[in-house]
Amino acid sequence: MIKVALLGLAAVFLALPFKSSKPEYGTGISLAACVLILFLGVNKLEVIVASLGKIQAYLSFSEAYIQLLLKIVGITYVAELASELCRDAGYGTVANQVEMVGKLTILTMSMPVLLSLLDTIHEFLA
Amino acid sequence: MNISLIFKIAAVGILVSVLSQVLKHAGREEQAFLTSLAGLILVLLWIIPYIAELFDTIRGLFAL
Repeated sequence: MIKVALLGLAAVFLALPFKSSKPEYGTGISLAACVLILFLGVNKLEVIVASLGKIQAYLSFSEAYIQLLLKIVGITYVAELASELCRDAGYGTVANQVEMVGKLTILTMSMPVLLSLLDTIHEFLA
Repeated sequence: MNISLIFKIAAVGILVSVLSQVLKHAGREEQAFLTSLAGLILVLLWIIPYIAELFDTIRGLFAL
């Protein structure tokens, strides 16, 4: 964890002098720092995904829901990374568009779950 | 995959800004613009493989 913190601080202090004269290098440095920090965090993420699989083995509901949950987390992460980087570079509109499409994809992916819920309710009532 | 990537980008940034200042004062506006463009493209060439690898890792991890 210390490595991640130091990496973030080093990247910020390196990118600061470029804020006024050459903003594109500042964005480049922050992008590189984000990528490196994620690679440091990926092995932690694998542990979580593996234990989630074990938990799913105990519970009875189908594999699809856990897969869907993981997909939604992945999409959120990618959309968040892209939109925050655009916002850092000063383009709020582009960031909002990226977030909007991210939300739309998540909504379309979770539609089947909603439909299956409604079907089960319909069965109870009918 | 280590911190040298960030230091390389910072070094290119400083070098390019100094070079373009010198060229600008020497009256060579076009060369200054070309130098900064070349520096930018170089930095992008370094970053793009890492971004591709990042998105592949995410796709593999979350089964997207």
